[in-house]
Amino acid sequence: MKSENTALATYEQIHRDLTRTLEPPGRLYYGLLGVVLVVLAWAIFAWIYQLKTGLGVAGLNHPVGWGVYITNFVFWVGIAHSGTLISAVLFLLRCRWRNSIARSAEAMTIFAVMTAGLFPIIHLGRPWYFYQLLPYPQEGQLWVNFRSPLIWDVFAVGTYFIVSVLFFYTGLIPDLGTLRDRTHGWKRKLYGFFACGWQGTNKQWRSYSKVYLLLAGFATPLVVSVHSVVSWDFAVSIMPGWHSTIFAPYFVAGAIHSGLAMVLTLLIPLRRIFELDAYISRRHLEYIAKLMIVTGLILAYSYAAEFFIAWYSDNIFERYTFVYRATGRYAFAFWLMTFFNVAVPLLFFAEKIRTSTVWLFVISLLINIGMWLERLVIIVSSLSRDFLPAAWGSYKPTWVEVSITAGSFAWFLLWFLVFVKLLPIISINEIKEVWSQPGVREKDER
Amino acid sequence: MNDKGIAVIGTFDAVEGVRSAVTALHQSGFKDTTIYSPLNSHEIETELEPVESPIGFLAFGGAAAGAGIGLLLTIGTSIQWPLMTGGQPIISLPPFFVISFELTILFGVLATLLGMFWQIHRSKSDPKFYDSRFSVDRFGVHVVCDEDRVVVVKNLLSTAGAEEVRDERF
Repeated sequence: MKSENTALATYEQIHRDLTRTLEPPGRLYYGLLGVVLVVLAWAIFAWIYQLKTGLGVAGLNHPVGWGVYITNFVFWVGIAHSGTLISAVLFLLRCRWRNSIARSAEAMTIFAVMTAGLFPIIHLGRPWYFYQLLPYPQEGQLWVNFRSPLIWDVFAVGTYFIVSVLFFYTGLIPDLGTLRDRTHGWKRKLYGFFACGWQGTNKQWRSYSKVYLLLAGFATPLVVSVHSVVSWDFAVSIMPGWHSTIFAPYFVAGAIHSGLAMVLTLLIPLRRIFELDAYISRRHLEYIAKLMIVTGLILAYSYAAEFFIAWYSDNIFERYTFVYRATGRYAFAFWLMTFFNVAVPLLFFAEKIRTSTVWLFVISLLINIGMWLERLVIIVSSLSRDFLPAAWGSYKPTWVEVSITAGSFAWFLLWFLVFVKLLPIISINEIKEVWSQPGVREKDER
Repeated sequence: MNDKGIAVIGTFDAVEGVRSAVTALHQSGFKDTTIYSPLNSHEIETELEPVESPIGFLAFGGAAAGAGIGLLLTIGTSIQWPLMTGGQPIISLPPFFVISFELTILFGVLATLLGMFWQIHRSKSDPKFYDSRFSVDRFGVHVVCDEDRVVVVKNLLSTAGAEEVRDERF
């Protein structure tokens, strides 16, 4: 890694360093995998129990019909956002530092969408009919209601998943060609099949560049639209605390905030375990921290704007909802979310904190918790106190919901563990591009 | 002999050599060159003449088709199965635009990728010219020429700094 003599040594070294993650796993990997599989197995047991017994085993009841499951859906869709933000938006803005973290962030996006997609299905009373959400001709003469935001979700999240997978795959093609040339047996066949005849010719690179740019251009409005659509699940209703025009930008900012936090949570251990400090430097982590100051401040503004509008509108229902949020049964969650999402990221103004991996890791975990709580607060506090005091109620998740929530983290990590051993977690060709001047490694560019 | 021609392949360890080789080859009238590179080098790209690519048109066509399909699906099926919900008109354009927008992106991306696969396949060279080192740490310059000019090409490539020069009949 430290060789800086010739281009050969540098490129070869980059290749060796970045494919080290693909070597046979050690005890730590198997240990983590074991924990993940146990948690996942428990969650599957809980889900089977829910399927056999009925949705009543969850804490969902009138008036809180949406609880932890929909909280998880919104949370995981939010996590999915940073992958595209880092990869597509920063690519369009020509921020070359993205090259070191884009691959992991894109993978994170895919696994997060895969996790998010499970929750509306788990939430269904009869999940085996989930396919009826799709518009297809059938004997029962059912047809989807295109005016429903839940159907918008199907199209938005479905499109986001497909586009994220294709964007991720496109970025992988040159690396798959490299792996094909350096492996044998079934691996060579597998990588070769997906490399689609990649040889790195000038014409191929030219097509690739153009396609990557176009995909980044398509993915950028898509990423904004998807979380806007998710926010409209709430905002198009008349529920106090939900019926707000600020929801779309507020949700998009929150999604980016949580996604960036998850990127830090995953990258910090990875760079340590695989000794990738030279490729994912403190500077990269610092850039993410700086972005999180911005997203944290946008969230602070959004939280404040919600309260201001509730007061200024002079609508008693709206006002009460926000008073209840800050002082009612779920006030602990509200204040924790405000502290973790708004106050804690301000610590990144201190250079010592945003350049310390320990601080970064701890703060990223707190923001993840804060963002999950934000979704819980939005959903549960509004539903439990709507227009009619006679219909008020409360909500408490049961062991089934807690288990399935823990299982969602295990499911997400399981896919990430598989990814780490199957594909390079940092784009080899993009790192070569940034380091294309042997011996000259521009600190800021990297 | 069934041979169609001769290709000379030079292997380089740095992009500077490739640039010199391409410049020298173009000056000597050898236009039929292919460069292999382990990275997306803009330095190499600037040395080569721009090639028209239909990918942009495909992307636009896909996106336009997606928008049309989205509107057709929502408006068409609503007319065929007119079920009023929430007191909204049967043809409620704002929500239909959401579906149409998502399909615009989806079809645009799919068309772009189809274009890329087609182009990658079309611009693939004969495997016998390819060297597996080209995807890791070496650059390649592959020139198609007549038999009587092989020596000239080899000299140009060697002068530009090629570490290896070989020729292949195809």
